[in-house]
Amino acid sequence: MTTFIQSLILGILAGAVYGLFSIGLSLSFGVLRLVNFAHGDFVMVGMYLAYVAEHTWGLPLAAVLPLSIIPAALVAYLVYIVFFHGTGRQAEHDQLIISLGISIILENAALDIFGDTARSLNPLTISSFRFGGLYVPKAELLAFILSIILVGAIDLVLSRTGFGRAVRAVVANRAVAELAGVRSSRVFTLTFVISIVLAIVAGIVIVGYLPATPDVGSNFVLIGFIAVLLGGTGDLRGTFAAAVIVGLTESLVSIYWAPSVQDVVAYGLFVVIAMTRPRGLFGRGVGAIA
Amino acid sequence: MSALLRSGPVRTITPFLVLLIFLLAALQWAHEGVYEATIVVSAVGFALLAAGLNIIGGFGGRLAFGNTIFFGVGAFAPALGVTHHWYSALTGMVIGVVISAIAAFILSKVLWRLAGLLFALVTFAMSIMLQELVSLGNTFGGPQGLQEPLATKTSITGLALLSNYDYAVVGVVLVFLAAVLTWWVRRSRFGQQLLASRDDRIAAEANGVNASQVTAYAWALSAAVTAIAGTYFVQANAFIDSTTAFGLNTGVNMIASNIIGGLGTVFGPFIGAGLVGAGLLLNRLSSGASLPGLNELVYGAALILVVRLAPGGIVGVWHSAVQAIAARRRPAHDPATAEEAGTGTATPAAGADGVTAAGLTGAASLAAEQAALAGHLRSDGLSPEQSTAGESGYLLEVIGVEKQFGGVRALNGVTVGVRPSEVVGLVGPNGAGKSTLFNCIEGIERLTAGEVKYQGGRIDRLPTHQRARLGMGRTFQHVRLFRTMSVLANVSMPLVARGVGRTESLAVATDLIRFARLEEVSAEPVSGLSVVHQRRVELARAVAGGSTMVLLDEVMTGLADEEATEIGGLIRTLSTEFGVAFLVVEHVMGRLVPVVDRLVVMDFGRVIAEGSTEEVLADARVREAYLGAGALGEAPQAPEDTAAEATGKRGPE
Amino acid sequence: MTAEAMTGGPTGTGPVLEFRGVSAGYGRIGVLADVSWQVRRGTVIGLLGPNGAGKTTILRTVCGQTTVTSGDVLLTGQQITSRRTSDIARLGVAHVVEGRGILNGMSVLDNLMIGSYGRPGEIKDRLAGVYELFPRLSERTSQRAETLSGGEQQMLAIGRGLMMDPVVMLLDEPSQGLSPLMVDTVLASIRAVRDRGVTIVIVEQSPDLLAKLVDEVVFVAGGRTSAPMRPTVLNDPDILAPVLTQGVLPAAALDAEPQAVPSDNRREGR
Repeated sequence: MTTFIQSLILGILAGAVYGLFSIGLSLSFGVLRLVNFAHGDFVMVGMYLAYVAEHTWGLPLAAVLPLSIIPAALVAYLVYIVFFHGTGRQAEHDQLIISLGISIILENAALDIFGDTARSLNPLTISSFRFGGLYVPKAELLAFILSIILVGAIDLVLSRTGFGRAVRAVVANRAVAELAGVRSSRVFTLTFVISIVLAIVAGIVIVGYLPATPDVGSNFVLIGFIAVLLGGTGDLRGTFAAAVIVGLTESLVSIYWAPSVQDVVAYGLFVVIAMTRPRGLFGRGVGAIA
Repeated sequence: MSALLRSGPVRTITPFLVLLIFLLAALQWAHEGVYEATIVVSAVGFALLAAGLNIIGGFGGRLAFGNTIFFGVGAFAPALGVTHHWYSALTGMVIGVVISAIAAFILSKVLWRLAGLLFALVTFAMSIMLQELVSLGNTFGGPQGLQEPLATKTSITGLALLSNYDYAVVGVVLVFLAAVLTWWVRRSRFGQQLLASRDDRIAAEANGVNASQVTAYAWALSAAVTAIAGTYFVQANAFIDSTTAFGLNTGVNMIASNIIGGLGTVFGPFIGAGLVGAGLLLNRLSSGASLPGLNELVYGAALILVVRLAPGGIVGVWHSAVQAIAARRRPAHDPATAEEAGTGTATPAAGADGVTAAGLTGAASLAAEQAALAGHLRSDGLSPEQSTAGESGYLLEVIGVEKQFGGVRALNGVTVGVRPSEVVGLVGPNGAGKSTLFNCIEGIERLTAGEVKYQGGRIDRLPTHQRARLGMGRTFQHVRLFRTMSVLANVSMPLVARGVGRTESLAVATDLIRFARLEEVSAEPVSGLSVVHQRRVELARAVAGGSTMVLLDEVMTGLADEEATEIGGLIRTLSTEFGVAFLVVEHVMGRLVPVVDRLVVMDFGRVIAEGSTEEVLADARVREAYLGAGALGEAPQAPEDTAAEATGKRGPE
Repeated sequence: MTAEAMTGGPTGTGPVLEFRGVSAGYGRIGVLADVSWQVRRGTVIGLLGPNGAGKTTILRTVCGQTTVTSGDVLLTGQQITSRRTSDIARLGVAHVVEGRGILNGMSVLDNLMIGSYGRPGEIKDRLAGVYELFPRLSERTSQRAETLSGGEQQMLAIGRGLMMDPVVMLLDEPSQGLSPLMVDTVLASIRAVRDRGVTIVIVEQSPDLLAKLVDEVVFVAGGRTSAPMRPTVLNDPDILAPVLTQGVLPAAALDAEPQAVPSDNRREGR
């Protein structure tokens, strides 16, 4: 029984962090209809950023996080303007390929700079909290808390603020939103920036317990797409819930079956759901990625 | 002499000659050493992979990111057989190809409803899944993969050769064959239908193309080619592991080759693969480990630049350049120029190779020409044998059709019929249900109740392309033409879908084009045409398969009066001379008056009046529906009692 | 001539909306041909014509949603030809689209509040005003908009337009899909909007709604417009029939005299 609860704990902790970067992907896809294959690679960027901050500049995590927001936003803005702005009308797979190109660039830049040995942060002095027969790893817990806070904040912004309303309006009906005075192109830019910043921040906290390698992005992006699809494209809360489900599934599979199979199960889930329920597990999605 | 150089056969052979020369040069270079041969072998592998994807992704419009699945199958099948001594490599290749083709065919049907992006992602996920699965356990060699023993003698069953150079020779032959295959696919009837399905699935089906079937076969062919690429790879390298077989890098290279070279062209994948393959390997081998990722950075940047600046790839740039030069050299418009311009980016399909729109008269008076044309068309078989009506005497029968969308009843018991050769107009205010009725007849919407019969038999359960094959054509409210094809190719499509031979389709299509007064633009890509021309192309296409009946959805909307009159004339002639029946939806009743035999007026989801135009216009209910109650100077008349009408609701249009 | 009078600014007497020789369409498809037309402040204008005539295209051209190949579109004297839709909306043009354009998945309140996004101001007052006009909406503020009935959705769409504090409101077939009872309610609400000094343009396919409401009628057919006519023509089948069934504009223009204000409780125009 303890094993079960333990795996639940680990799964939820991991799932919440998956949720953090999946939300970004959900925003990017739900609002801009942009399939960003490089999203996972921005998580990787965050991971290496935290690593460099600690090893080269001696900055603790607590400092890196707030300091990285503005540069991350700037980078995201540049990426959007240079690569994606104005591509809305091109053939649907063009944006996918552009993002593929960005992914190639990012992964190989990482390979050039850091090589392919895994990079980790220095281990924490207290690595986990123990109670009963259970343990809660500290790094994961921190990541979890941060994810909850950030995702909660995004949710609040979307549901309670004027800007959030404008974003939802653009998703519901772009033309009508424009007629109400919403500048949809600005909404797109800002949403993309938020999406990437979330990915980078997720990376910063993930490296606390997962080592950084240049190819780690492709796994993350697939998890992200699984969460977005399972949760219903365009539904943020659904995406988060689905991400947690993915985390739980991986954790359970890893403990009860084999760690090497956990990805397979997750991807298999994706394939099956895509074929049978393109509207997601909760049936609230805006339909298949069409 | 210049005409000879521009003629079709020379045009077709030249690129192959260039390719051959280039391949021979590569072989010559490969002869110089192992290092050079290895590069050529690698490039060959990329080329075959890319060619495979091009068939389904380029021609079929379904970007199968996960085609690497079949590459892996084609590689592991012989590798397994050889390393475990189960069977020979040749047998392994056959197994790999067969499994791949069948799997692709089935998958295509299963994933048919997935939109393009999701399709790409799902197939990618499948490939990664396989990558993980295959690296487990030892059968497939675990993460290290399988190593085949190096060949000691040349063997066919072992698919074994002694040197890299030998493999390069075989590879070059395979590449040439793949190029020929690609060329053949593109110009074949099968390929034409595939391109049509890619350009506009709905229009393709409405013209008799079984899009799902054609695409499934295309993916099966693509998978087979890809599997052969896998076999080539494993035999030439004597090694395969799950990451190389199914992984992201292979997939990216496959896609990049196509994009950079030109997705959907004949030679694009080969050019792109040559660049990508050779480039990557050159860098890796020459710079050693110093900057393992630098070239790939350039590679990623190149990908992005191509997509943003030159979406047609290298071949696309080449075509644009050729067009620009040709346009500058010959400012005066003449058929030859039109054809060259037309054969630019939209490489034309059946018939346009060498056969220009020349041979026009222009001297004969219009009427005489039309009469001669009519005779021609009749002998072409355009006039269907006495189109069989049902016992009721109607060709198309809509009986008591109802359609419910959630709480709204769009169609409320519509009964309407069209007799052979009759032209029936369908009019009514917005929200009356005209478009919904059309969609139900077509098969785009399913009926809630009622029947639709054609030639006496029920069709309301048949898929759209089968209704088309029975002889029902249609045009669309927003014109749906196959945008990468010429006028001629568009009009020929229904004939192609029916399996009509090349010369015959060409003849019929050309005659129809002359009938619709489109000769001048016959070889032009449809994307550049004016609205009037586009509508006439759609009309000609709808009739081309020997349709007995055509549904016209607002064919006159957006046309000036003279243009509308002209199309009306074409409709009238098609009806009286060739016995084609029409059901025409139009907004402005007045435009239908000279065209129709009978008018049907709808409102509130049912028919409220029917008859000749005078009868209909005099009908009080019609006047009220159009002119409002105020015009009659009386309180609004309660329409006959039905659920919808009791609340006076009009449904969605 | 003062700048204000020239531009027909907020307190000027110039037309609120003006088309000067406008030809417009969608991409290469031309719809409107050389349309010239004026809408005077505080009036309610009806645009009537058969489908496909270009009525909706006229409204969309005002909002920058079409390709204008020639001519000028002016709002209170200001050039707005082909400007960005969101910018035009922010100048005070409220376009209630055909089919209502409800934002599905969002609440009634959200649908209303989005109207004030581009035109900040005394939002609480505007909201109160909308609820006063449409009490049904105040009972359903947190309900999802797509669950409302057709009539309620129309009220919501008009309400959202009001939240923009508009100078001119464009209504595209507001009676479509509604029962006669609901049409009356919508009618009353449009009158109330007019009474607040908003200039209104209504597009309709059938004359019934317009007859009870408009100060002037302009017929639209084949991408062209007639001169403005008195609303009495809406009861005249000899004028209506050619337009609505044949697409032929009335030949003679019956000049509409500047109307005396028909109702008493009209506030001062803005």
